Amino acid sequence: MWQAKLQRHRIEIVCAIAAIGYLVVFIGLPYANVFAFSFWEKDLYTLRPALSPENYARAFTNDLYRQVILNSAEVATIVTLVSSVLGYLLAYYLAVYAERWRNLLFFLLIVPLWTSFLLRAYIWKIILGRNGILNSALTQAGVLDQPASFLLYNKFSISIALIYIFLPFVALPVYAALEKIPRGYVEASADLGSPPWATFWHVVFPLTVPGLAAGAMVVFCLSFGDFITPSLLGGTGDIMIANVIIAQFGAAYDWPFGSALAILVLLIVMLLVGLSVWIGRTVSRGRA
Amino acid sequence: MMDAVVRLDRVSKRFGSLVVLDDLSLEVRRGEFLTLLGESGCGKTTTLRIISGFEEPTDGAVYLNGRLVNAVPAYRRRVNTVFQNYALFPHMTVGENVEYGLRFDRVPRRERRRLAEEMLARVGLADKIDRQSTALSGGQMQRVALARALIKKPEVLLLDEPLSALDARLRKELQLELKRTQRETGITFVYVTHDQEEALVMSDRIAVMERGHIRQLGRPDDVFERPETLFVAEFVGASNKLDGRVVEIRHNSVIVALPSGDRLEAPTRSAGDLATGTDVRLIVRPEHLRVAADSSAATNVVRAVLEDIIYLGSDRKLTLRVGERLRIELQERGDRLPPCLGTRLGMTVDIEIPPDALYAFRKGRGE
Ligand SMILES: Nc1ncnc2c1ncn2[C@@H]1O[C@H](COP(=O)(O)OP(=O)(O)OP(=O)(O)O)[C@@H](O)[C@H]1O
Ligand SMILES: [Mg+2]
Repeated sequence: MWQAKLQRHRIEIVCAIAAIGYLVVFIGLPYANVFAFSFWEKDLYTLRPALSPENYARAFTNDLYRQVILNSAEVATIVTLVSSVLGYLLAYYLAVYAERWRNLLFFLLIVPLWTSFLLRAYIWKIILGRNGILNSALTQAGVLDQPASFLLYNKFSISIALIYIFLPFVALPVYAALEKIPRGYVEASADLGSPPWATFWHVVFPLTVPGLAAGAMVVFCLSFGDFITPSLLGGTGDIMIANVIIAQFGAAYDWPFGSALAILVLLIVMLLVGLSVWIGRTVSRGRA
Repeated sequence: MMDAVVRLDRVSKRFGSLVVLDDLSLEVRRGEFLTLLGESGCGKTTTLRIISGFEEPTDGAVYLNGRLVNAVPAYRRRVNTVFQNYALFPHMTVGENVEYGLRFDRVPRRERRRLAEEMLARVGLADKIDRQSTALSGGQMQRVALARALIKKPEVLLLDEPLSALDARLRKELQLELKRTQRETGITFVYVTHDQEEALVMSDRIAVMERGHIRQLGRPDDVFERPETLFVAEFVGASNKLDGRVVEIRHNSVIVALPSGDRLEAPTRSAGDLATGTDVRLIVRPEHLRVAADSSAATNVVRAVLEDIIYLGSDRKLTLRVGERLRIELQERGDRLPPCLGTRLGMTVDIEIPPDALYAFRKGRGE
C-alpha cells in the first residue's frame, strides 16, 4: 500500500518538475526577458538597461501603432468569426451527415496541417494573384475583361488565407465535442417534444460551446499575432502588429520598443480571451 | 378491445437482412401496466422505439389513440420515454431537466418551474432541484428521468429497463414506487425488462417475447401458471424440465414415460397434437413438487435421490436426481417438509408431482 502511494507520489513529483521546468524555461524566462527589455532605452545604436516607461508612452501616443493594433484586431476578429461559423458547419456536417465520406473528408481537413504554414499562405498568392488561377478562370469564362487586382494585397486576401489556415483549429475541437454527445441526449430531447432545431439549440450547441470557444480562442490569438500572411499577402497599408514587432527586432534595431509592443499585444490578447471566457460562462449559465 | 392507446398492427422491422420484429401485433389498453418480457436481443427496445417514433416499421401500422402515426415524428407523439441510461442533460440542473419538455408545450417559465418542483416533490427529490444533474446517484437519476417524462402527462410512458443499472435492493424499492406512480397517475405504462420476477411483480399484463414474436400475452398468473408454449414455460419462473415420450393417450391427459422408467400423467390443455410416440418436455415449477408422505397413495410419484438441501430462510430447496442424469429441484416451506429430512441425504425419497402442475409441450417444434 504505502509503496504504491510513494510510487504515485514520485510520479507526481516528476510530472510537476517537468511541467514547472517547461513553464519556466520556455514561457517564464522569455517573457521575463521581453518584459525587462521593454523598459530599456535605446541610444542611436546601443541598448541601455533602464527602467523607463518611454517605450510604452510611444506606443500609446503614436497613431501609427494604434492603427496597426486596431488593424490586427479587425483581421483577427473577422478571421475568428468566419472560421468559427464555417468550422462549426463543417464539423457538424462531418459528425452528423457525412457517414460514408466521413473519413475521407476528415483526412482532407487534416492534410493541410501537415504542410508548412508558409506554403499554405503562399498558395493564395497563386490563387488570387494578377495572373493567378482565379483571375485566369474568370477572364477565360468571360466574367472579367482583364485580371482583377483587388483580390490580392489587402485585408481580404490576408483574411481569406488565415481563415483557410485556421479553419481546422475550430472544426477539430467542435467535431470532437459533437462526437462525444450521445445519441441518447438528442433522442431524449425529441422524446420530450423538441423539434430538431430546438434540440440543436438547447442540447447540442451548449455541449459544443467549450470546444468552439477553445478553437475560436486559438484562432484569434494566432491570427492576431501572425506576421507571415500579412507580409506575403498584405499591401503596404495592411501591416499587422507582428510585422511591426519583427521590424523592431530586425531592421530598426529597437529591441526595447519591440518588447514593449510585444507585451502590449500579450496584454490585449489575454484581456480579450479572459473577456470571452467570462461571457461564455455567463451565457451558458444563464441559458442552459 | 376498443380503447387501445397503442396498437401495433402486423409490425415488422428489419435491419438489412436481420429480422428483428416479425409480424408483431399488440394492443396496449388505456391505463394498464404492460410489460414486454424477453431475452436480450429479442426486440423489446425496438418495439418501444417504434412506438415512440425513433424507428419506422419496415411493414405494418402503428396507431396511437386510434390514429395512424407511422409518419409522425417522435417529437410530435404524446409518448414519453424513460431511457435505460436516463439520458439526463448534463449541462442542465435537475430542475431544468425536469421542466425541459414543457418548453415545447408553451408553458411560461414560472409555471414550468412550479410544475417541476411539484413533480420532483412527488419523486422525493424536491431538495435537489438546483443540483447539477450529473451530481446524482443512480437511483436519483432514475427518479429525475421519471419526473422529466411524467411532467409531460403522456398518453403512454415507455420505460426501457429503467432499473437494470441499480442494485437489487434499490430495484425492489423502485419497482413498488413505479407501480404506485402508475396507479396514481393512471398513465399507461409499457415497461421493458428481461427480469421475469420484475415483470410478475409489476405488470397488469405481460407480453413474453422471443425472437421478434410475442409468444404469450396475458396476466402474470396466466403467463406464470398457464404457459402456452414451451418457451414461455421455461422462460417465466424457475422450472424443472423432464424430457420423455408419450406412451398413452387418455381422455384429457397423456401418460409420459421418462428415461428413468417413471411414468407421469400430464393434462393435455390446448395442445391436442400429442400422439403416442411424440417426444415431449414436461415443465414443472419447483414450488409445485411435494415430498410424498406415503408413496402408495398418490399417483405421479417418482423416486429420486436426495442430493442436497439448501436453506433459503423460510423455504428450503432440495436438489434431487431422478434416474441417471436428470436433476430436478423442489422448493417448499421448511415446516411443511417431513422432519429429519437432513438425515436422508444420498437416500431415495418419493416425489409427488401433481398432474395439474405439469405442462407437456411437444419438443423440437419451431414456433
Ligand atoms: N439500428 C440497428 N441496426 C442494426 N441492428 C439493430 C439495430 N437496432 C437493433 N438491432 C438488432 O436488433 C436486435 C434486437 O434489438 P433490441 O435492442 O430491440 O433488443 P432488446 O430486446 O431490447 O435486447 P436487450 O435486452 O439486450 O436490450 C438485436 O439483434 C440488435 O442487434
Ligand atoms: Mg433493449
